[in-house]
Amino acid sequence: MIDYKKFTLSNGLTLLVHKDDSTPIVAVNVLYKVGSRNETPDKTGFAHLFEHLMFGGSVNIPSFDQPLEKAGGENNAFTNSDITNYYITLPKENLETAFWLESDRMLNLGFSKKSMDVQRQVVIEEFKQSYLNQPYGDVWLLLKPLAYKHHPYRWNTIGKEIKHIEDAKMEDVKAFYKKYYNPNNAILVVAGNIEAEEILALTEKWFGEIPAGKKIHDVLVQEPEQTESRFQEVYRDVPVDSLYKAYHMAAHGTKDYYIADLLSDILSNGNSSRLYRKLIKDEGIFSELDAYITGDFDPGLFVFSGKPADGISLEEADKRLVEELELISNELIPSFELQKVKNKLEASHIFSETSVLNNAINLAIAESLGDANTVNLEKEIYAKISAEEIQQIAQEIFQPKNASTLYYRSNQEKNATK
Amino acid sequence: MQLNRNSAPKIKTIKEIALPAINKSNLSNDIPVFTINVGTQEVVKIQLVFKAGIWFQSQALEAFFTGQMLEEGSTKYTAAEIAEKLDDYGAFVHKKINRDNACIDIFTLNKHLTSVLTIVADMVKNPKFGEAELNRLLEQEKQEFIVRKQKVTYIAQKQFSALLFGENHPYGSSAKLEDYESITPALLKEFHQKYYGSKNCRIFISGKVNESTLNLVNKYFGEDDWGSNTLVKTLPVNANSSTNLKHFIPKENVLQSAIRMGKRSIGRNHPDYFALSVVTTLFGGYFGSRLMSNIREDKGYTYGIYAGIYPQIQDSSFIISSEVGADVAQKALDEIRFELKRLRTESVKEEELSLVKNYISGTFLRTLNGPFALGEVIKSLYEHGLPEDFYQQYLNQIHNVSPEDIKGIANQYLQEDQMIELVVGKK
Repeated sequence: MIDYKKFTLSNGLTLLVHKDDSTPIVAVNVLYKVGSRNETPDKTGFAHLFEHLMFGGSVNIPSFDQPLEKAGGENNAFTNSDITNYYITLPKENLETAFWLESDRMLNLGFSKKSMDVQRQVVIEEFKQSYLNQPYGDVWLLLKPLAYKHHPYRWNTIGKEIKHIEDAKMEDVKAFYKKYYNPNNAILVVAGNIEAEEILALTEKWFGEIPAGKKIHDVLVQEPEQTESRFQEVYRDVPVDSLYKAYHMAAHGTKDYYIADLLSDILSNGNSSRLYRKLIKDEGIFSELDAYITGDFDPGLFVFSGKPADGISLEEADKRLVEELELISNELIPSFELQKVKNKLEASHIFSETSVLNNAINLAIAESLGDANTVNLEKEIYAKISAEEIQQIAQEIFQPKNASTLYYRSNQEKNATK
Repeated sequence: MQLNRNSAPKIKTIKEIALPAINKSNLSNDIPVFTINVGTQEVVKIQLVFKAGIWFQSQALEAFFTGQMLEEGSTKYTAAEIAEKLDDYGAFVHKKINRDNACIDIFTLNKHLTSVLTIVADMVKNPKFGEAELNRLLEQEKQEFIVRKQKVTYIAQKQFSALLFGENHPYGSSAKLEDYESITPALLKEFHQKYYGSKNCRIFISGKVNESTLNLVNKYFGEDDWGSNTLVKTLPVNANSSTNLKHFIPKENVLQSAIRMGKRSIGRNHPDYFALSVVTTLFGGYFGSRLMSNIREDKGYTYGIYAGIYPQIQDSSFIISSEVGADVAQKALDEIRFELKRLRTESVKEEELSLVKNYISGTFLRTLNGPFALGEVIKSLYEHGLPEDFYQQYLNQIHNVSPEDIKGIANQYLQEDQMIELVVGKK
């Protein structure tokens, strides 16, 4: 159970405070409701590039990191399709430093040319390091546009191509900031050994005077139902073939989303899960195989990724995987199997709650989806899911016409297995 | 009142660290147990540590596969049963086989502690080492290895350890593809017989711990002696750093090159360690470090560059690591050397120094944050033979480090012309 208090400032900023007296550290999390889904197709990678620029100094504070480090703090951030999230952990005694820093970069960013030039280059290196210079690194650059033809999820958060990042201009960046980086588009969560009244006063002091921005009404193109199975194969300089399959599924927070989440656990969470036990351990069809959901705010993907064992072809492995998906669509799962994944899920939640930063981030994400209290209701939602509901969702998701399959073939296989 | 946004709120320097009490006791069979009772959730982490790491193996992968096979079936349970029961209780077992130790971490809800220990005790004491299970696991791991060794980072990391310690040293050795062929059930059984015994075991417990936790641990691991009766000794091995300082492993078609630079160094029980850690943090240990400011934030050559001391139990090393654009590898190397030289020759400004000290103090608080992190900390203190008040001493010491000390330490330990350099990729 994560207790919290919620406040809304007159400029629209949402504040959540969670008290945890077991730690000397305070977590300060600021979530902006903007991600790569808010970008336009000709300027992708922007939300993430912008995340980098947020560390380039604000109008009153030339360096973001230095004063924080001096206060014994540390920070980082992540961007995904739906949100951009910044977080700080620091000793409770120096909490106000975080308010000073976060409020100033919400008030007005520095926009130095130097920061823009350098961060553009850093992001290009990140693009190379994570997506291009890794075996299988470009999988998501292929899989997303295969599964999505219309929705902005068809490009990756890092961007469609390096060129979009190279071409980013200062005026675009400023417009982006003006539109999305406003108190009414942000959620502040503070967690630690603190009192709500004290935090509310600090929030009023530092964030209260920041003017609200215009209300945002981005209309995102929704993905129409997929009507035919899709297939792509590529050859790459990797040692082993790899199989990817993506199926469309429900949006984060809906009932069907939770059922699909449980379904993915039945299939592949833990050493006793179906796919791991049958296809890896018993039959040796795959050497690794995972099933997971992307968890996007708009309808997301149910993904399988696996490497066939030595001597097994992609076609054979694919066929055997699909048979398992048919099985779970056609037969009710035994009650002990369902109870087992529920138990495991409940335990994972409790373990995750031991981290004050996790709690802060989870509250912020749930609030941005509509209600922070969802973090406390989820246990009940999962507990109620029945075997029949799982079967029904499996039938809906695992239809051949709903699948996008990628064969990622090795062009050096013969050498590597010798 | 008009808010003054130009000046920072007052900050407090962290001068004291309150480590929760560490309780030391012995099980009936004399296994030492260290417990730390913290946290609000009804969960516990139990760590069984054996001197059974790479240091003790006679051939590559022996220690690793012995540890991995514990979950693949025991006298009482098949692999499938172990997996099923642990999942049903929502418990996690992590096997961490490192250069020095084998560590079995058990995470469980308190309400399932008895059931979980019943299974884990049998796994640890009576593993089956079945041939079919082993062959399957070998196939799985071999494929993963084949993929891993494509990565410039992985090649650099393995090769650099060999350059620092010599490829026959336990800290420098690494597995080759053919080593997977010589792992047999008999070999692993023998290794297990020798090293996984009560005489060679320590236990660390953190989370919500009470007397019944200890009683249960005693019931499953403490009542009788189990495993080998011989005390395991850590025999010394000579380390031979490469005398040739510049190394290059070319790799075609790469966009980035992996860079490593460093040398063997002092460990956490050396009197200079505290000052040296201030220097290495300032140099490359945090986001605002000299290396990051220059090579990432000024030049944009990399997504990240780090440097630090890596203290292992028998030896330590100082390592700088980064992946940089393939066309700027040499420029990045030049900048690293420039920054190393600057440490020795230029006096650091008081402001930068105090920032680094404060940053390190904050890091301690984060390291000591949460029940499981605390468990890791006490384990590490004990395994490295450090006193309980190590972090408090550390904190006191770093605040005394002066700009003169920084120069002196850099001259003594971080001479740029004594560093071994490795580039994997293009140069």
